[in-house]
Amino acid sequence: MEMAKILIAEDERPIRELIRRNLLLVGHSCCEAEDGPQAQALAEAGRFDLALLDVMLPGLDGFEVKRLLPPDLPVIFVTARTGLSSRLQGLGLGADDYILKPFEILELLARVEAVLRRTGAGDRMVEAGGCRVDLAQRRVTREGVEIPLKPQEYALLEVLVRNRNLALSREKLLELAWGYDYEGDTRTVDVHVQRLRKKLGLEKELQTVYKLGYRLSTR
Amino acid sequence: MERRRKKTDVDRPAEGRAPRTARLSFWQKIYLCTLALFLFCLNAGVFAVAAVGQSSSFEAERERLLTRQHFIAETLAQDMAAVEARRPGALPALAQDYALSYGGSGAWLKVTRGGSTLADRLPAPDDAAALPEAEQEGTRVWEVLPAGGRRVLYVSALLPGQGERTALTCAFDMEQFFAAWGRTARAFQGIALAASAMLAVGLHFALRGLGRPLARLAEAAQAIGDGDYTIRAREDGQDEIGQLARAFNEMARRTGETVEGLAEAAREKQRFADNLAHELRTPLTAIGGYAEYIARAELCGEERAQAAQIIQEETRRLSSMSERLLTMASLREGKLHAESVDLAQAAHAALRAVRPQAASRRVQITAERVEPFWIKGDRDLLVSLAVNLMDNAVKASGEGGQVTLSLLRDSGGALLTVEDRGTGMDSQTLSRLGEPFYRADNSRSRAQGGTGLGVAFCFAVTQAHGASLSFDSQPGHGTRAVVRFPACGNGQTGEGTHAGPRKEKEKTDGGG
Repeated sequence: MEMAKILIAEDERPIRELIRRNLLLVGHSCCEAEDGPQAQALAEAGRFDLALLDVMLPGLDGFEVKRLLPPDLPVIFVTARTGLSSRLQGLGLGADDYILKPFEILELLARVEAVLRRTGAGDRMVEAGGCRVDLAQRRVTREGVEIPLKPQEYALLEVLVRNRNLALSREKLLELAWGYDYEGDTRTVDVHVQRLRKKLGLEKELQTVYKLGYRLSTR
Repeated sequence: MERRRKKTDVDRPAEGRAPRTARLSFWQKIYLCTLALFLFCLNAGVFAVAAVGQSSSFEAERERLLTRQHFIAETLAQDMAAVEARRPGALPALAQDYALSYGGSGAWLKVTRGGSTLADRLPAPDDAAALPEAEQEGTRVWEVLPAGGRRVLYVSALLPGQGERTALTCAFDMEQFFAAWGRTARAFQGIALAASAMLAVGLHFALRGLGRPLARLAEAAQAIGDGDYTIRAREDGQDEIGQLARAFNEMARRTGETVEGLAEAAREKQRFADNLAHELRTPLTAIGGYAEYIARAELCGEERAQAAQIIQEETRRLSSMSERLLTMASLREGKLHAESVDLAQAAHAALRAVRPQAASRRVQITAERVEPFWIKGDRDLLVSLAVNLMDNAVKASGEGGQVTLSLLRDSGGALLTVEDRGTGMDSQTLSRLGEPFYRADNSRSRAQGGTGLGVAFCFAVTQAHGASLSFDSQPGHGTRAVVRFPACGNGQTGEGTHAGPRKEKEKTDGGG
């Protein structure tokens, strides 16, 4: 059920902890480093699918760490610096993306997801309430039997699976599963969630979160 | 901008690029004025000297010739008187004899008696000009007339003691005199011309040499005007231009320093703003992130409590940061609540505040000698200062570490010393200590909830009290922080409130 192995290098303990907890929620596994040399040592010792590097790391800064990492390891820089030069330097070094502090968790997860999808890393099978979702094949099975879904239903399911264990508002779901330019009602979301619950038997797992939206729980 | 540049270009004729013909430079103007004035004076002087010389020489020569004429007239008159008495018919022969004999020595004679001419060997004047004729006995009439390409002095007089009116006219050749004078005059002209030429050349080089420092000064001024404050003019000589160059360089140096100071202050402000933005982002990321985490994730009670605790801690960090910044800002403005404070009491209060935390890290704090010393100041800030210094010492010490505190009177003032045997700092760290948000040990400081403002705050407090703070450290041996309170520690002088904290710092390697 593990999706990807991610290295987090961040000297601020609360933020490192925050990133780790959220990555764990959506099914990734993490290793933590609190300074540059430690990050480099961890990267040498094990295989990772992605590294999240803080730019202002003690010991070696994020850019220096990136230079020492295997070139095929995708990197996302996390930085509080807004200066254009640091962005350019980050991207010029072959970073796959960067994210500015303060960031939203969903944004961080979306960028991680985008990089992982591009590199095809991690397990693409997710299990939720007895259903197996094959993200690579875009198929859903229950006890070996495929359950046919309409494209829009599958899109919504994929968003919920990718952000599992996190509550998403109806507006966010519309944005992520239907697209920015979709001008539908948020009740469309409710209708589709109802259909998913019924078709996949996820009445318990696909929770309604009071005043917020929906959450697919896999815990 | 473009137009201004053009204008200054035209204003700089001394420089190579500006057209020299368009305008004269300062030294060229002086040159032309001086040369014109000198040439006028020289030539007028030469002319005057020549004129006066010629006229006086001419008079002397004329007098000599007149004397000669007088002598001829006297002898002729006597001889004629004698001849007339014995043989009046021999008078023309006498006259001709005289004319013949004097003609050989450069004097030509003409003798007339009554209406008839006795002898005439005079050269005829050009254009048949009228010869001078004396009217009365005892007077002489003379005139210089050209005759056959020569200048000739004609002198006419009536001979005395004659029965009949007898006139003698002498002619003397003055051509030699005039020719000599012509040579003298040409010599004068030649000398004047040579002197003028020498002056023209000499003055040219001299003035150009004198004008060169001025031109260089103008170039330097232009360079500084264009913003290059490193340019210096050459300071040679003790004259006004040398003084000007020195004054100018001094001005350039000070202006450069002022500009550099302002730029540095602006950079420091910018650095502070950047650092502040960065420092705010970290707690804001944590607060926002954990709030979102609590809202979105399905959490058990413990996880929720942990997240909430982090939010609280980060909020506390933000508020203590803002409190520090506000205090430092008000200290910078010279606002200090001053009352009589016993530093010893303040030190003891700080000791009590730090001890529990020190004990939890197994660090022992001992007060060596704490002598009472009263100053005017803000008690809370002074306690806070001592707490900060001890706090840093405790954090630098490992388990089982030792921190000592002492307050000693020293030449009227007092020294508050906090010493540890902890990790210490290298000179690079020491030099940046006191910069807001600079952390000697980044991860440790943050993990312990530091704001990155502790040392900057200490500098602000000591300065507001007219005291100075210095750190003395060696890596691996520990650090000693010394606050030196002056004899009449008065916080309201506002002294040093404008100086940055780093100026007070000492970078010595004494070791702790």
